[in-house]
Amino acid sequence: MVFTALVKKEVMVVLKSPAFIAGLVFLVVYFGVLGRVIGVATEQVTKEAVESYVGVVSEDMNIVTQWLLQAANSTLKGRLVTVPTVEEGLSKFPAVLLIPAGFGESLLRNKTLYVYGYTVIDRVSLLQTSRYQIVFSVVKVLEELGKVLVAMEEGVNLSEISRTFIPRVEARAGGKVVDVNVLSSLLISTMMLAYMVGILGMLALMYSAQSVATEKEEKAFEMLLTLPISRKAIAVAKVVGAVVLSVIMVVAYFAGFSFIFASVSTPTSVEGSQVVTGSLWDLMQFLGSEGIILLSISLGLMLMFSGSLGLLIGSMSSDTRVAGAVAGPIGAALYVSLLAAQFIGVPLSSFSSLLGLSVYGLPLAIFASSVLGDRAIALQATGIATAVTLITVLAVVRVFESEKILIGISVRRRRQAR
Amino acid sequence: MSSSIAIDVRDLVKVYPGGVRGVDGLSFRVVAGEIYGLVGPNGSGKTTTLRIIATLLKPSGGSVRVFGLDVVSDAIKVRELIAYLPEEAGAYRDLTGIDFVRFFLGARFRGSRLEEAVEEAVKIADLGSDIKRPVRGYSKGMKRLLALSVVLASRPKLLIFDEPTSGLDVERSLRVRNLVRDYARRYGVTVLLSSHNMLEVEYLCDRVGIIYRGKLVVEGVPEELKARYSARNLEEVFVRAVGG
Repeated sequence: MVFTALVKKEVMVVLKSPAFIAGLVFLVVYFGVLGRVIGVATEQVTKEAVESYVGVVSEDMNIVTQWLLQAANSTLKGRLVTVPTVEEGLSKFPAVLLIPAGFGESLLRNKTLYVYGYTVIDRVSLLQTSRYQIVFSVVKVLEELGKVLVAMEEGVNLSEISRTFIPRVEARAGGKVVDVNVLSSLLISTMMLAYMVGILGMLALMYSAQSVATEKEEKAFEMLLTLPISRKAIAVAKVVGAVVLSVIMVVAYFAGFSFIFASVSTPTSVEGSQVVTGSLWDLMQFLGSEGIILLSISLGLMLMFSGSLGLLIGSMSSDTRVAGAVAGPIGAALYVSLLAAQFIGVPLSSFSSLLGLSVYGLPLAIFASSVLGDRAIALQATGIATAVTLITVLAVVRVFESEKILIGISVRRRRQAR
Repeated sequence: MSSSIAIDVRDLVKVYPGGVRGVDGLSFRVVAGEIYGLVGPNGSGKTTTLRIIATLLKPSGGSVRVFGLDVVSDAIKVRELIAYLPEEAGAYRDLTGIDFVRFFLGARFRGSRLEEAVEEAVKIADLGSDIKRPVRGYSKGMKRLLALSVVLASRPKLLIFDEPTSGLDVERSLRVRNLVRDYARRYGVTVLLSSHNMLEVEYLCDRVGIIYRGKLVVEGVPEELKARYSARNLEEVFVRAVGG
């Protein structure tokens, strides 16, 4: 009962603050702007794909096919490079196009043709989508030139010719083959998830840091600490209170996140690229029930870690200014690191489990684990993140049980014993 | 130890990080039911002593017992017996006065006893309809009365006040002193308070301990001390006792 009252107090003290309400409004606006920025960034990445080199494996020696490839290479300003095998091509170029045997003859007879594309995904990064956007761009050029060739061969007007080239592109990730449309959607969903995790984590950290510091400023803290309640209960109630507030923020900002998703799911097709959508639903389907459970655990751990870290900062700060000055940069560093990871990319390897050390990176490790089909990575990363979170909670309890909660910490040079 | 001893401080030492000695071998006893005042200049160790007795700080040396319980090893049990009003105690600015009262008293009481305690605190605070307003709109005096009401309505065995009337106007200071004195007498509560205000100490306290540089210089009944030092008031006692 006392514990419930403690948690309720933690929540009410913050919820009734005008600053908290103003913060909610600010962030909804912020997410709207961020959504648009991400939409523009996605378009830029797609455009960059147009300028990359592409390996071409032609299994068809037909003169029609050869002419088509030469014409396409000329149109693409020499960006097509012939390679003997797909594997060799992938070792040199971001993408490889395979023209199947009989393609030339098929072009003259059939309206629908299949072209095969290959790319290697070695990182969880939005920029990786450019690798297979390249294939889509080249296939679109081939399709247009193919129509011209057929029109010349049949001696008819170009507008009378109907040909559709369907690219079937595979992304190879750690030996696993993933359809690129699914992967595109998942990478965008993961990026959105990372933004959400970063923002919520930073807010949880800031609010919990300020809750203790504010309580000290309000001069009610010493009275609280002399109540017949264990310090452990007070500390854990503060952590739970911080998590509850974060969950409220999740609900409040859902509309903002939805706007971002709507922004990035705008068709981004450039020269034959397929429409790519990003939704949490796609991500959930890809991760499966086990992945969803791990993802939920990761969000809970992240909130608890952020809340505990914030409490640790706030409990050793004399006032909110100090708490803000310390928690702000730490929160921003964690958040920016998470954003940077989207562009630098998270390596798709067993080392991804080390992302658990930051707790914030756990969702990315879970995603990497799903792409590679190696569940051990997700489990290891979750184990590491759980240990880090528990250590942080224990540290908070220790600080609350010590008098550092009142007198703070002092960093002094150790005196040499005489 | 006799159960009539409410506070037993023996050779108390408190060294803060960095080597600053807040208290340096302090010893005194407070008998159950009496009002005892710790008097001394800034930095003499009054607040540190009160914080140790209130289980907020841990002693570096010596021992402190409250009704026979050690303040370190029996901290939670000690907290059940005490209520502490720090200097400039405030309240959560975004809660209403009544929410604040209910939260603090809810940590001690349940059910109808809680309702009685809340009603008592509201009566002590005497803030009228302001008790339902957020604390951020309260004056310093109102906040002080709110905090005091919670402390008194807790009905502890030991009340600890650090500068109980600090920053209050004359009218509110008188009211606080009367409340403290009435509660102590009516319910047989032991009171330990610190103050700069010698008049206040003289008015409220059965016995006074003068503390200087972390040590007890002299203690006794105010009238006896004045007689011993041929002083007209406690201020002169203080000056003569510390050799000024």
